Amino acid sequence: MPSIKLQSSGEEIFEVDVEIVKQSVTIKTMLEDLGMNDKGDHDPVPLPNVNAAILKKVIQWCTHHEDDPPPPKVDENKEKQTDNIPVWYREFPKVDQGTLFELILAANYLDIKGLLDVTCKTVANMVKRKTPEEIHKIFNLKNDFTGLGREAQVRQENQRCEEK
Amino acid sequence: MDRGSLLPFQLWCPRPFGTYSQNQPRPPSAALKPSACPEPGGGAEPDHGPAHSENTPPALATEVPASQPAPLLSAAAAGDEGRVLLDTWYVIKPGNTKEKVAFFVAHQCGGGSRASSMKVKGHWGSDSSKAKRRRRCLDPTKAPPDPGGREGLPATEEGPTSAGEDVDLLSVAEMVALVEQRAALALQSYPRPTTPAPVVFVSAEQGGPAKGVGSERRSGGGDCSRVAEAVAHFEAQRDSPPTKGLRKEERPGPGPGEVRIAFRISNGREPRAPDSGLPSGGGGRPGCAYPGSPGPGARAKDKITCDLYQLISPSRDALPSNVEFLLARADEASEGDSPAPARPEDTPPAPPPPPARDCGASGFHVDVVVTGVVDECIFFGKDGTKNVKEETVCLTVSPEEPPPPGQLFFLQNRGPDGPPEPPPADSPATAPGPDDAEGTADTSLCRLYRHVSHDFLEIRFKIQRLLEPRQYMLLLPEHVLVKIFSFLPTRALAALKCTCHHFKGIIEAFGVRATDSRWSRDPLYRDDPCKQCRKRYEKGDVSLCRWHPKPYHHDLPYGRSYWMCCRRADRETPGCRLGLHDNNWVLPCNGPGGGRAGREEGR
Repeated sequence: MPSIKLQSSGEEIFEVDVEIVKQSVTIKTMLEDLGMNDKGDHDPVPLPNVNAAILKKVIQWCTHHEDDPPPPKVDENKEKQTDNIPVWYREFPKVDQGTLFELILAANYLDIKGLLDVTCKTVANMVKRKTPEEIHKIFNLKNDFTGLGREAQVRQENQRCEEK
Repeated sequence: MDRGSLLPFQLWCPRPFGTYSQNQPRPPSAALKPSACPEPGGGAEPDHGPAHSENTPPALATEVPASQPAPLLSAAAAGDEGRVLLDTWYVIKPGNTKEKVAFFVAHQCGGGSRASSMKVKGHWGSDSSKAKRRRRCLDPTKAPPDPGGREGLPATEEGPTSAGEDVDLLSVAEMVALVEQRAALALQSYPRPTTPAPVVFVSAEQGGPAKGVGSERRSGGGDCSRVAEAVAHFEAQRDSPPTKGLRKEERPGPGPGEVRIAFRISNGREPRAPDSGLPSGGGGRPGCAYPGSPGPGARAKDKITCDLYQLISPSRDALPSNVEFLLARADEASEGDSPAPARPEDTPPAPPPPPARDCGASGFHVDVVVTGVVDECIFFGKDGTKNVKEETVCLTVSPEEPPPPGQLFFLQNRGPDGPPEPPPADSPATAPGPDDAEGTADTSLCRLYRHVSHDFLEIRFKIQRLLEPRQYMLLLPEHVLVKIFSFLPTRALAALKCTCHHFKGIIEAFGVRATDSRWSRDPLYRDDPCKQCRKRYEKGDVSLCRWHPKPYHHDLPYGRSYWMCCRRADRETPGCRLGLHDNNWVLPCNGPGGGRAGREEGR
């Protein structure tokens, strides 16, 4: 099985099977555009936006799902559910917040839908059932609403969401 | 003289010298001979003054008013020879060890120039005995000191031979007598000086260790007490070289950190001009004017204390006890002397004139003794005191307030007229001066920050930035955020909208719908309002009512058809509530209640 070399931002090279990395639409498109589909010995594909650690995890994920069939088109609502993540998928993104968001960025850059969905749902689960203050604390955000009036207006507008 | 009326003298020097005289003041006598001890030349008065004996009382001016109060002891009895004793007196009895030491020192330090005027005090021969000394004193061959009016003095008053080369030694008693006599005469005839010269009564004599207190007094070689000078000089040499500000030899008066042997601050003494001789003496003792003390009673008011803090208080108090004030006056009075560099912490720039005493004397008599480095460090060490003061910025003292105990040198500005402490701006780099100058209320905390280097602050800032959690959510692209938000229910979206403007803008801009939103997405009904609350869906609107489902109700075949909001019949309900909303729409035709529901919904 032909392999391909991927070079991270730290110039670390990872040699991976082509079929594995083709889960990344970006790499796949690149290979197709460069005519590197079947040839073995090629220059490493530079991935300047992905560091070695994240690239390693991406490769791990792609390796784990190498044989997965393409996901069927599901109901939109069902697709929006965040509690239907498989165990492995749930355990995989259980990393620190920095690594998690780096994975999101890497998945977005490499255009790996499955990985992006999993990581985004993980973040969504972190936001669910949280108050604005808790969200501030979790994600180190700053409340830039000036004055109490503005926030009160927003809260009032969404007050019904909290009514029982 | 009532000894009890005198304030206790506290000496820094463990070797006081001088005598304590209890004699009554002697009437002024024009025939006062300056020299208590006969000069070799038969009592010829030297140019500078007749008295050559260090114990010879100063030649008192005859014009000293007789109303002068009782004589007072004066360490600086500027005799005719201009020599004065320190105004620290002890009752020295013949053979007293202290006296011996003092005399010894005086003798040793006198030098050749003192030989002529030195009044050898006692004979120090090892085989000397009291009797021997007394015999010498009573030696008729020796001309007894006759300052003119010593009738009452015992024969033991025989003063030391004041001959230049005469090394006759006087007995202790003679010395005592001489001193007492001089003191009395000086008190009686102490003139009213015209110039507010500081009264310094230990002046250097002719090449002697002239740098005693008031060395400037030795104008024309004003002779002062050899003993005092000798001791002072000896101690100065013994202790340390004159430190900064401690130029005892050069200071006109007790300058900052100047070493003295004894100190007593008294006001009301008329400073004598350097050239003015004693009022009573024919030649006077230029430079070493014996202060016309108002007397023991008045002297009782003089401040005598070991509390240098108090004495050197920079307070603007014009009380005589304020040595600064007095010193300042002394400095003003001193003419040819280098102006005493204002002690950074102490000397006020322009103290008011001291109150006149009964005798009308002005000026003061200063015998301030600050011995050793310790005192200097405490009182005059500029760096130390500065730093100390600056470290205690929190103290605020108004110029009018006396410094708190023990905090004299920890105080900041004492006001515009405060002592010439170096203003904070002038303070060394160790202290944030400007802020100190500004704020007596400046806090040490602020000072602490100022002490931190810029590099430290910069590095600390960088470290803090590195340690701070990053705002990853804000680093994500917008479409990624929309994707994340699309996984959220209505409440989570409502909370996110209240988190920051960025999230709110994304939700509204992209029309993020909550996962549990019931708004119909059919483009056909996009603009249809809710039948219940009449609200129309807006992008990013996560209000409860707004995402009501809009079922379509129609009464077939000919009934009304409309989109409905919910089954709730209460018209006043602001909208279906989350969790209570019944989304199981039943078409009217689907159940027994369907028709009724349809009717209810139609309301």
